[in-house]
Amino acid sequence: MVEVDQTQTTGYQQLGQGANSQTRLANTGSVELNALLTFIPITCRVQNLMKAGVIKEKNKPVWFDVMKAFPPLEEPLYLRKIDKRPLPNILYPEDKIRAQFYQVYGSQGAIDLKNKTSIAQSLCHIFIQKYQELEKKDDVDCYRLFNLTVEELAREGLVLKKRRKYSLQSKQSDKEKRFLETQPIKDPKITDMIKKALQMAEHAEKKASNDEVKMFDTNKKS
Amino acid sequence: MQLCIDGHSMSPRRVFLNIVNSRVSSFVFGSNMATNVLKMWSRPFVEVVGTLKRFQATGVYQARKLATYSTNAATQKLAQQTESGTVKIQDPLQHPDYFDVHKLFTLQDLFRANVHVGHKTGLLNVHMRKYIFGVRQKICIIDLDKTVKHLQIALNFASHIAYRKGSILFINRSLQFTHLVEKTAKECGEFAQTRRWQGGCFTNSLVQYGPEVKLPDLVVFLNTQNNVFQEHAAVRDSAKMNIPTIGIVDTNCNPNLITYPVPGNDDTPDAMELYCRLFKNAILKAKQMRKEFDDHDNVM
Repeated sequence: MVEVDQTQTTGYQQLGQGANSQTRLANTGSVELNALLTFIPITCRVQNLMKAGVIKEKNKPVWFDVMKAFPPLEEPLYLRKIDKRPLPNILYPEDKIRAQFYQVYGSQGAIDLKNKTSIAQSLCHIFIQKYQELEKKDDVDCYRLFNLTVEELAREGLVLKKRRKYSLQSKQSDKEKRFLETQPIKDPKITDMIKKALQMAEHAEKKASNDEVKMFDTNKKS
Repeated sequence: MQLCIDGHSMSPRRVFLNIVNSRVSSFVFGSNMATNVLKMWSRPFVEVVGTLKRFQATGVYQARKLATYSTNAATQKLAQQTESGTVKIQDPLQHPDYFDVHKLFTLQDLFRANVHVGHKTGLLNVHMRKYIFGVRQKICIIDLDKTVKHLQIALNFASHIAYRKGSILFINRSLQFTHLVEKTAKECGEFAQTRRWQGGCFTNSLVQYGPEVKLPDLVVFLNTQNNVFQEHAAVRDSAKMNIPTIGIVDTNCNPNLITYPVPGNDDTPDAMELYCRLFKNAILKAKQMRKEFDDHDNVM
């Protein structure tokens, strides 16, 4: 068994002393790793071999002096204590605004984060800058601030298109909606005509339901 | 000198393990058994023959012992000359940064090459946690302050090894960068192994390659994993054979057995090119300085 010199005053002394405690921990079943490899790093092993006289001074490895002069920052031990603290999330105060923005307006396309101009030109960045500007001016709550920034940007000429989910509910009846959805017509005049027709029909229905029976006069429409 | 330890074919056509004439040094066989160390030493081990410095016209070989490299004699010689006002050369090991390794790169360079970008949190190796700065959108971000420190120490170590004429082996089993690593090794006059690793390459080299073959003095892993995302066998084997290692460890790698780990991204081409360039420049500079020293020494 390679003897570990207890009188060593190098930083590796800990290791020699700790070897016994580590053997008790070694029920990990690391089959490929032998005892020496697991518990004693190479400097220590070579040092001990030299002390034992197995490696002569003239035969010492090239790296030995170098490693003595510039030891690694951490000893290369196989078994080490694991830091179980949770890793910190990297978050910025703008992330709140960013999250809100993307929820309402959706993805605005890819941004090359390495390129400063592409970041500066991105809609999200502009929005955040405006938001932070207004935040500094008045002490308004975040809900109103969001709408404020939208208004401000619209005034400056930047109109953002909302995601379908968040778009304002228009004054469309169910019938109209259904009709428009099933038959999308691009000509605005025709759509207007259809709208009017449907409105008329609804109006007629309402009147009919109110026990007012009146004939639907098609001539009147034109 | 190009060395390619090729696991596939043993054909002489391919450049192979050079039976080194110019760099023979002593073997240190790491014993596989903890018990009887002396028994293992029944294998013959090659004594230091020394470097064959120069074959001069008169036919005199100037041999110099590698292992007992010391500048004491040299510095004494030089000290006499410095009185006249020439450059003062000191023992490289005394200097904290003899090869000006800190000038080779900046933190900004690392950032630009995406060295800080790790894998997702699910792939995080437990032993890499100390090198992580934080998590952004489930992606681990490596702390570049730590990377800078580790990389400087690693480059410094590699430079010193190159200065002392040690052989360096670059290992990378990521297929994307096979050519890059081989090219780097060729350009700095060192060795590369980017093919299938034969089981007994280090541990059974006597039998597989013969007694004259010398193992590398330093192994540099540009990717510590093999092509199936497991730890490369050479990490364990170099630790067994008492060979110091430098390794670029990504967030899914285990840095524990590597003597000089460098936490950083090993998947981006930008990052890999950066590392290759840094190691190449460091090694070439060290060799150049050694050459200057030798020439200076010879003159006297």
